[in-house]
Amino acid sequence: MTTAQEVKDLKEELRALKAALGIRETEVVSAEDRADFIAPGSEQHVAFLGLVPAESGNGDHITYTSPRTGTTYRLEDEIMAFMNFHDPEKAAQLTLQQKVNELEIPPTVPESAPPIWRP
Amino acid sequence: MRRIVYAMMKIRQDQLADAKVPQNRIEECGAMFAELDKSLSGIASANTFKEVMTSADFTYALEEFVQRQMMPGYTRMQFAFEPLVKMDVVPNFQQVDRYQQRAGLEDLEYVGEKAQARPGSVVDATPRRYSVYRWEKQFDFSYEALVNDDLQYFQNLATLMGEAARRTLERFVSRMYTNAVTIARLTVLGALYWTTGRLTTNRVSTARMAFGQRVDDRNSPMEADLKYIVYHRGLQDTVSQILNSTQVAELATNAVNVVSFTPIKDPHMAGTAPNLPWFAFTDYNASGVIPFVLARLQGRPGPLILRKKSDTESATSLLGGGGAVDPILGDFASGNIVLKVSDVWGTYIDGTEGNMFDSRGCYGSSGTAP
Repeated sequence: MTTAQEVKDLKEELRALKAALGIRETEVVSAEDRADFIAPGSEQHVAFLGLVPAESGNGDHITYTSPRTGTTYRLEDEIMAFMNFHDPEKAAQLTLQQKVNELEIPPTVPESAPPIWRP
Repeated sequence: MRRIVYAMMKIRQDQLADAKVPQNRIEECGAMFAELDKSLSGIASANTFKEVMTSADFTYALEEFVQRQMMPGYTRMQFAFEPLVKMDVVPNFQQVDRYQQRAGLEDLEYVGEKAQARPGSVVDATPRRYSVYRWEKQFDFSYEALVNDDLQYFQNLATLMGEAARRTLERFVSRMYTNAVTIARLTVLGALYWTTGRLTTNRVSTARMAFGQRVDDRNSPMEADLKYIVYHRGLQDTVSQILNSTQVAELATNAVNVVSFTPIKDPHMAGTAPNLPWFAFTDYNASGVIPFVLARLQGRPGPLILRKKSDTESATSLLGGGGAVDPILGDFASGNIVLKVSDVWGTYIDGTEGNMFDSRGCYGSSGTAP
């Protein structure tokens, strides 16, 4: 009997033993299958952040061109959200820049994250 | 004069001569040893031989005088984590199972005339299994150290032990959401769970929107409002600015600030400025969305300080009566006094979910995107 076969058999026995003892594995639903899944950087993410892809130099809107991807975005709503500001244009510009950064910088696990504690 | 006393006198006089002490003092030293020799022979002296302090010695005494005093210790930075973790009590060290219903029943369907309703289904409860563990540290002190402690350095030992237990628990709770597995899971769950933006008013609003889009196991909308922002201590001023300003802080303008949350500073969270992480959590009391759970053993709601009993059977004085053994006498063999601080707690640990009892209650950011 090969080692691989032995490992397979042992895993099978372990599974049967767990079933016999009533030990249940945690059922983890695939992230993509969840209704509230939005892939970072996706079109849905763009929409979630209230961004709209735009053409650079569009005089009708405040736009921001990403230095990383060269893609240009504008805010979906650059009026209502900023109407109470003294300088709505400046506020909209900064907010747009923040949102594009958040959209494009890929989510990662910080290097400072410690390993999970196990007994 | 005895030869031994004479030798001692000569040694002392030579020492004084080496130290360039005035001649009259060297002679005074000789007279003192002569007096000592006489007193040893039982010859009464008119002068009482006693310790003297000359003006020169007093200068030395002034230089050597030291006052010792304990200064108050540091004040510990605290982490009020209680609202973030649902407390659970378990009966023993064995694993316990907890089930949570995370979906309602199916919607009703139109049924035509003479038609029969279709059978509905029930979503299985979500199981969670965890147990508690012992957390302890032993400290031993020598009998001499405790007796010599005229500064009462060890007096607040119990307080320090309690603080150590609390700090350990705080670090444990902090690590529930800062550990790599939990964050990796949040990352996989998508943009409604993990982001990269540094803490700003806009991003708190984005986090609230993300919580607003949470759905249950049947994809029905559910209550999961953002209640707590847990932040790295380096974000203290940012948080204060966001909260206290009636305007949106970081834009330095006059827009009305509609962002509200309860801030909780986590002093144990790691991060390097300006990339400081922050997390948002739900209020499990209000929504039933439990981000984390902290299990404790029944009858052990907090840390205990234990002192080892002396293994000396009795202490009998040769000058008087015996009595009960004072605990400070410590261990029979070494005289060590042994103390232990002990606590018991645990949480849900999973290779995929990390420590999240329910990921729907969590949202976080690495704080890397400006």
